[in-house]
Amino acid sequence: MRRPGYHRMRLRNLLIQVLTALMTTLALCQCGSEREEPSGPAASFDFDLYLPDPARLDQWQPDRKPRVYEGEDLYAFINGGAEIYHEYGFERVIVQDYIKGRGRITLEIYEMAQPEAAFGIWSLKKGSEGRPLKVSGSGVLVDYYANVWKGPFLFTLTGFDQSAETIAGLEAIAHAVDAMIEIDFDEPRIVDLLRVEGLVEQSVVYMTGPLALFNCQRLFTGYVFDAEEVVKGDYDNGCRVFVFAYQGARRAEEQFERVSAEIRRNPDYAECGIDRGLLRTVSVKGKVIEVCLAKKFLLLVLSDEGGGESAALRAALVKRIGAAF
Amino acid sequence: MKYQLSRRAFIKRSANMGAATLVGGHLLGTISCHHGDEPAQTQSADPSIIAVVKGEDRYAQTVKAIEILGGMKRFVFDGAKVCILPNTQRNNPGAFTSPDIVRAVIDLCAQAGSKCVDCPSWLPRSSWESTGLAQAAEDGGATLKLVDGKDESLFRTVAVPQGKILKEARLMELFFEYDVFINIPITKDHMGNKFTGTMKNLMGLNSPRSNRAFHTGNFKNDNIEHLDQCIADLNTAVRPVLCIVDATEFIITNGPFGPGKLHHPKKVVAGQDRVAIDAYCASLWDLDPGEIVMIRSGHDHGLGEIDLSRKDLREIEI
Repeated sequence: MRRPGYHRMRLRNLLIQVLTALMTTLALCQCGSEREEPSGPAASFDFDLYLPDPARLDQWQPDRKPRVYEGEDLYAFINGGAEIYHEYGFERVIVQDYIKGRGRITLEIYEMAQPEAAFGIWSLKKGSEGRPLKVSGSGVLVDYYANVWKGPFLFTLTGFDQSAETIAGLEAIAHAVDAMIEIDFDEPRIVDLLRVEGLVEQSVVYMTGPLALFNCQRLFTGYVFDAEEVVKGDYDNGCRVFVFAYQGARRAEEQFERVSAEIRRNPDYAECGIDRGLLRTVSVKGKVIEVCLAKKFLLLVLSDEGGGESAALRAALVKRIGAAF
Repeated sequence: MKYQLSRRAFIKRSANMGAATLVGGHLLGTISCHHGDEPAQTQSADPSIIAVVKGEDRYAQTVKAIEILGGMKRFVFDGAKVCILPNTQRNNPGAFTSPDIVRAVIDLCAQAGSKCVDCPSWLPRSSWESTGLAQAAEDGGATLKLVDGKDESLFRTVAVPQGKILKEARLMELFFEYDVFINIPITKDHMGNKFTGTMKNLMGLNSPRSNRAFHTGNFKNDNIEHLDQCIADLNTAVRPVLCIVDATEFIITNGPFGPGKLHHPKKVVAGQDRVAIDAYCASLWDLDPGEIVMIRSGHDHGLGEIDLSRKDLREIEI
């Protein structure tokens, strides 16, 4: 059975795309038409590079032809759901349906621009519940669906019921796809900054833009934080932490000022004050928000009360950041 | 004046044939505004009522909800051409309007004397088929009217004079053929703006290209307020005569596409006040309607009431 590596897959597809583009251009020149023809990736796309051998899928058989959506065409597949993928950096998705008896499973393999992007969208989609899937990548099964991250890929499997057979099929397909991807990648370094006592691992979400942040926590409607990357984690003391990363300490300081100004201006926040570098405010929802600088990072802690527990957590995080950077 | 009432609509309005007829001339909020008269309300349907029916049978729940509102004849007149807009996003559980709700609406329209019920859509046939909505439409004698979403010639530019950001919409040309518009979304999570319901569903009438402009185009610096304001603005230009929302089973994570965590309030929600209906649906999964910019903006536009205590909420279980 063919087990191509990730780089080989990309090179081969790149070659196919270049050839397709050349042939399309030639065809257009020959007929003298000004009409722009679709590039038609589906016609030339080598699905075998992505989709597992059906013989390995515990009798789950492909149903209908596989499909591929690239770049902006993602809108044709998931319409308004496409934005969040583009925010992280989307390349293409391959979709294949499977059937076995009355059971149905849909496999979607999202190839993202970077492994970090795939990790990010996986961390957002997997949710904070479910059980781990036994795959070499990181996988979580929730009720009737699973999300797996490996290298630059996120694969999402949807079973349309929760029968034992469908769940077993879901796992079989996840294993088979996982085995096809030889490359792996460590999670973004910023994630590790959250790992102090009390972190609820499944709550970690990695973000690179405003939609994902808004999805996790409605702090502002605009992207006031304007960070390079953001990570969120929940702690067993009830605190929620966001770490915003910037290119340098100076940029982080500027953002601290900007966030302070926005909070003062915004009627959703009250009792705003800064004491020894710690910005403290209370949202209309009664949540205490504390923001401080730590090297090139902004640290934001949300809690019900503020005070001792959030202070201890903040101190631990600042110490960890100091040690790591 | 940019838009003229069609001869047909004019005759209908002039003839003063009753409430339902008046509704037929007001698919577009802009038409009402250009003529300086208030958007017509049905004479007998009470727009303050929000009907909520909990149960296990979505068809029966829908029928009951419309009954609470006074019956479909309050909204659909004899011989009306009816446009319905269910959400056909994707066949993932809790991501599309239940076919049984659509079946009930089509049947009720027919019983009320509609000439036809059509489902104009720029989503592909595969979306309609995989969700079972194509079958539901066919069963009831409704017609799918599918258009190529990439063909801009199939969309008409409509001014949005009340729009704070959105100044022009691009509605399906087909949409202008109908007398009555019934909006049938599913409420669910949306990773873009956290919530989708009646107001956001109208993006299904607008061209995909125009919909893209609802975002600032820079995914690194997008602004939720921009997206939500555009949706609220679009709603000032299009006014459904009736909204029926599937709140029976829907995703509260990974929306609008899913798969995501399912929530099961088992409710069908119906009424005319989009803002109130969206506010109610948001509350079903502990969202604060005041925090959803789209709902707040809809209220600010005067499209409806965000404060549910000011509505006549009629909740029953069957």
